[in-house]
Amino acid sequence: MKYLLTKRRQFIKGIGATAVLVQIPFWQSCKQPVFQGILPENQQKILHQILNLLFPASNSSPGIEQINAEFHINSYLTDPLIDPDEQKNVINGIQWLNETAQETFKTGFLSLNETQQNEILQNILKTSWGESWLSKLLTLTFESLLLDPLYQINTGEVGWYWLHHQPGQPRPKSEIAYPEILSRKKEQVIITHLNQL
Amino acid sequence: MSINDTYDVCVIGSGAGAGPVIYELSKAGYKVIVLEKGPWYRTKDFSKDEMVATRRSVYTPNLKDEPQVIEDLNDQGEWEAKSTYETGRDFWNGNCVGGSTNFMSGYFSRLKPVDFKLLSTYGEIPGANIADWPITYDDLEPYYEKVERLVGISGKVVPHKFMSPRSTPDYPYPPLAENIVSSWIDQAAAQLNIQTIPLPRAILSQKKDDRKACYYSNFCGSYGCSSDAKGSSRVALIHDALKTGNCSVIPNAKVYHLETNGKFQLQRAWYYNADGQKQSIRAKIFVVAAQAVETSRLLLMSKNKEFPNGLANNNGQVGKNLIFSGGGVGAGDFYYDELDPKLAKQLAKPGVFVNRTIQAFYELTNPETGQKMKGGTVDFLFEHANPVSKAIREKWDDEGHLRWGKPLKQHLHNYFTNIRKLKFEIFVDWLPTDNCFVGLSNKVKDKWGDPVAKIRIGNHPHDLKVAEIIADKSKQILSKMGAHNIYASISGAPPNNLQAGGCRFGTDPKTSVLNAQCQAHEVDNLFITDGSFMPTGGSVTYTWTIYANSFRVADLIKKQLKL
Repeated sequence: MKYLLTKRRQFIKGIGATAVLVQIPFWQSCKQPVFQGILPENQQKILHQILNLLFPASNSSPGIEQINAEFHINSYLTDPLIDPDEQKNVINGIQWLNETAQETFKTGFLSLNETQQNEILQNILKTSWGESWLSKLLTLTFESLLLDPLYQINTGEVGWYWLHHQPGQPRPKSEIAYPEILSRKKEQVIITHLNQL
Repeated sequence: MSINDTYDVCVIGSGAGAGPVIYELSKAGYKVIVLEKGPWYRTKDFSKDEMVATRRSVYTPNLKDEPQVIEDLNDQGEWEAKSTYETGRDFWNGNCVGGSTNFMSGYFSRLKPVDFKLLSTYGEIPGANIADWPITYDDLEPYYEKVERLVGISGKVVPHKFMSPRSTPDYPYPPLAENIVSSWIDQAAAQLNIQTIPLPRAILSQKKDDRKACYYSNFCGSYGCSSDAKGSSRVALIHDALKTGNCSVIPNAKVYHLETNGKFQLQRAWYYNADGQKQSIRAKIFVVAAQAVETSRLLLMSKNKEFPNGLANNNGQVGKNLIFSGGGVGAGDFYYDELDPKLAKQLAKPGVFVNRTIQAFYELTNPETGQKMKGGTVDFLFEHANPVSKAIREKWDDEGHLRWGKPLKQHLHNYFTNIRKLKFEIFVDWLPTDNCFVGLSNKVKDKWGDPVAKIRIGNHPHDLKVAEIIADKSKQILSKMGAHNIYASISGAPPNNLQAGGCRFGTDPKTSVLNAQCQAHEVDNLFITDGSFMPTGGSVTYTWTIYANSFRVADLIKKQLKL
């Protein structure tokens, strides 16, 4: 049973999962070049498709391409400072989603039509792993939408503009951004004067 | 001096409990060395970057390297211990020079005289280990005043029934600028016959020496301050200590053992440097202020022939009677599209503060007995402006279902552009009990191979009862203001950033670790100056009291060094 292969660190959410019937009112076809990161092409395409379902673009709001969400998730998956188990959770979810599609419709997720993909999404939302996985993807999407464009996301501050968010000042510069700021933790010094700071 | 010399004072930690000792003893001409577990982030290192401040938790340890173990009641009513690495339940606070004072919001309130004599005023409560303090409010008052001047507190004194006595008429810095919502709170509360008062802040409203005034960045709590207006131990005290030439600070120095000399006196502090190598510092006096949990852990780890159960722990009191701030939170929403556009614009104004508190509930009548009982405080504040954290909270609907697709986007847009959430935070005493303490894990170790702190976090049901009464009154104020979606959540889950106790002070060595001078009963050159000393915590945030007590103890250490 693949769903028993749950990760050592469970995502935490107090309230039990039940599905919500939500209609996806439009479909965004996947005609853009496939993002190239650490995931195999097929997994990347599935991730792209799921992100589009979770956070669809509209005329008045940015979608995952404008906020560079796939780039951000790739950065997360390749960040040596992130717990490998958490990274594995994200990748396992893609695989498990595809396996669910295979079991339900005898074909991979990408071959399904819009209605079938929605059905799969709603089905996995009823499972603990599925709800946790989709929640994690949304969190990473929100980071892409609302963190500083310095991280090559939220392109042109599109997320801040959409949600009327005013960033705080000073904004980060690369030398004090993540992960460069962590170099402070390696400093081997004795501070005896203010001018050393 | 070099690290091979013997210092007058070695201070372990550099937050609110350490800063005053470092400042006072350096100024008095003593050679002080500070061992701080975390790095030194300079003011120029701070920006309003949510990635650094909260999303990747740069200012706290990686839980894989440094887990802790939390012991909580499970559904079967049994104590169950889980590593924070397994659960993701992060219990750390700012690990860096200045400690968590760098990232506090600086809501500062003094304790009241009654907080020093809770037992003798209200009597025993079954299941609680309440004890009077061995000092009085009057002993601490001059030091509260000192904190106002040196750390810098802004506000306006407004007399009220439970006002803490003062030796000066007002705060040294005028109040910070306020949002229009503050006047709405005042009006609504007045209609309910409840007095509101301006909330003092450890944030400069005017320039002080090298520190600039607050520039209302809108990102205060959880963030380092870029103008040095916030009264962190780092900029308010340690910078000045360095100017004396008597102070040395070693960042990234994790103390793991305090060594005694066979005569019940400390002689060396052992630490891991940034490369993980073992080093040591000799000193005449040692001051530990590593925040309550880690202070108890360090003492428990420092075992030897004289102290087989841990340093200063021959009576088994170290780690016992850990306390937090009890209480909970609540909130209500204001919709811009229901307001006059001018008022809506004023409500939406970022940066300026709410700064309202209510202390009218500091004493309540117990509805079950009709007797007077200790109450608490309510502070009002806006929801934090962190956009990612805000969005994450909104991904679940009221039934706990995940929002996604177009409904999610519509909800997010409405939430961010049409709603301002006003919150309240309730602070009540977290009664000390036998089920709230620090021990050492016998299973989980940190990256250096040392046993991590095991923290049992049981609360007393009385705390929840008091907080519920205050929550009802607070919700009435939001309702009178016309807020929507009003709720309160009272919980026995402890706030990890408001921790105290574990090495309580008292007159009896059998029931306390420290004497009234915050000096270990069993080790006369060991002082503990973080919140560990507190037998009870009062019903306000701790930081001002920790600062004040550390100034008090600094004077006592000076006397000891002169002998």
